Amino acid sequence: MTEWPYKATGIHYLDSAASTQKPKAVLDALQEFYSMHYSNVHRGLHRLAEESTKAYEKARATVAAFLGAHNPKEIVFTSGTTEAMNLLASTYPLTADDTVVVSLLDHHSTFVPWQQAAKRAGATFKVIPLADGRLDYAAAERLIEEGCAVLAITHLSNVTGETIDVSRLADKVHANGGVIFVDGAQAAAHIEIDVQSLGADAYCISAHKLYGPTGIGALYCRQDLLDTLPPYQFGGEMVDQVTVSKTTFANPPARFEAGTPPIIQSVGFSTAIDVLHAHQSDLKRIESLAKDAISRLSALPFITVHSVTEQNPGIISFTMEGVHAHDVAQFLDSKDVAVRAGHHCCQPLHDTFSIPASVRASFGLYNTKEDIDALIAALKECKEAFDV
Amino acid sequence: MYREHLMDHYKHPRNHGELESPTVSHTEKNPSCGDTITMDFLIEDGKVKDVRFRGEGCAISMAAASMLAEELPGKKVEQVVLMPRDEMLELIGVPLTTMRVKCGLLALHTAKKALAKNLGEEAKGEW
Repeated sequence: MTEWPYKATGIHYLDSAASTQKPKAVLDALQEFYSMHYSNVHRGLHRLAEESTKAYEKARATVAAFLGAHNPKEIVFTSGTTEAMNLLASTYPLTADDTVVVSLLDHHSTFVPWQQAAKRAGATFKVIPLADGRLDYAAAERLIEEGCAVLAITHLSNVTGETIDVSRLADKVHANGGVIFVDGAQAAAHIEIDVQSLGADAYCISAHKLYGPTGIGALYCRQDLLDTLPPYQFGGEMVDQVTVSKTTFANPPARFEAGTPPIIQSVGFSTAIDVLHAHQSDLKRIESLAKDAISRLSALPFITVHSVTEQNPGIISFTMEGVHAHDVAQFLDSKDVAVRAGHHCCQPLHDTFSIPASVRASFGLYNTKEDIDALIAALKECKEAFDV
Repeated sequence: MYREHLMDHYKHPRNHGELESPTVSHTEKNPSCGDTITMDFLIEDGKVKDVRFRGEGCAISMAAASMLAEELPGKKVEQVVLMPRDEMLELIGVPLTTMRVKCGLLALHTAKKALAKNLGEEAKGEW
C-alpha cells in the first residue's frame, strides 16, 4: 500500500499534469541516501563515492528499462524534459534546406526550442494543425511528405489529453528520411512506454511528473544517433583529454552530463519508477476515473470541456461560461480543490480554441472518486458565486 | 479573496462603459491571462473630470478597474500618474496572492499609461 503524505493537507489534488505528489517511498529513499550513502559520483576512491556512483548508474539502468532502451548508455540525465528537448534542438544538425515540424498540441518546451533551432539554421518551421480538437493526421502526413528532417511532438497532450499515435508518425517520418523526437513528459506517467515499438529516435521525460523529485529528467536517444551529436555544455566529467591547445570529449552519455549530476534526484527517480511499476494496474482505474469526471463535467450546462472525451488517461481542460479560468481555480482552492488555470504553456493551442485560458483538472495514482465529487460540488458553488 | 466588497464591484461595476468624446483613451492587456482593460478619460484643468472603463477579464481585474474608476474623478492628472501601486492594492482591500497582483494592478497601469499619454510623457515605474 503506497502512502501519500500530501493527503494530510486535506487537499483534493488535481494538478498532476503540472507536477505529481510524492509517495513516502520516494521521500524515504532521499532521506536514507543523503544520510548514509551520499557523496559526489565518479572518480572518488572512498566507499561513499563508490556507493553514490553505483546508485546513479543503477538509476540510469532503471530509466533505460522503463523506456525500453536497448542500453543504459542511451540515457542522458538532464534537469527535465525541457533540457532534454533543448539538448536535441541545440545539437541536432539542421541546414537551411531542412524543414522542422511540430504540432499545435506541443508544449512550449517542444514548440519553442524547435522554432528557435529552425530560425538559427534558416530552416522551414511547420506546425501540424488540429481537426475537431484532435491532431490532424492527414495534414501531418502531408507535411511530412513535403519534407521533414525533424518531427518533434508530444506523446500525450498536456491540455487535451489526446494520446498521439507516435509509431504511425514515426513510420512516415522514417520513410521520408527524417527523425522523430518525442516529448513524453505527460505520457510516461499514464502510458507504458516502449521507445522501440514507438519508433522514437529520442524520447524526453521528467521525474517530477511521475512521482519523483524535481531537477531530474532523462533523454533517451538511439545510440547511433546520440554518438553523432556534439557536446552541448562543457565542464568536468564530459571530457576525454584536456590540454592547453585542445580538448577531446567523452562518449555518451558522459559527453552530455557536464558538472556534478543530479545524484540524489536519480535515486528518487528510480524509486518513483519502482512505485509506478507497482501501480501499473491502477492506470486503468485512473482512466476510468477521468472518464467519469468528463461525463459529469459535460453534464454541467455551464461547463465546456476542451479535452478529448474518449481514451483520455486523465488530463481534462474546461472553461466555465462567464467566469474567468483564474477565478474558477482560485475559488476552487478555497474549497480545497487544487486545479490549474492558464494556457498551460500552450499559447498557440489556446489561440486556436479562441480562449485566453482554461481550467485543467489532471489525475494521478492517488486520486479517488471523492476528489471528483469535491471538484463538481465546488464548480457548482463557483458558478453560483460568480453569476452575474 | 472574493469578499463581498470585491464581488459587488465585479457584479455591479461603477463607471463602466465609454465616454462619447474622451480627451484620452488607452487599452492595456495582460498577455499571460488575456485580461484587457480600456479606459476613457475626460480631462479639464489638469484634473480627471470623468472616467469610464470597459474590458474583459477575471473578477480581480474587473473589480479593481471599477474601484479605480470610482476613485479617480476629481484627482489631478499628475497625481494619478504617480499613484503608488500600494495605494491601488489598499483600494482593493483584500490581500492578493502573488499570481493575482498583476490582475489587481492592470487598471492602474492602464490609467497611468492613458494619463501619461495626455501629459506627453511615458508612464514611469514598473507595473
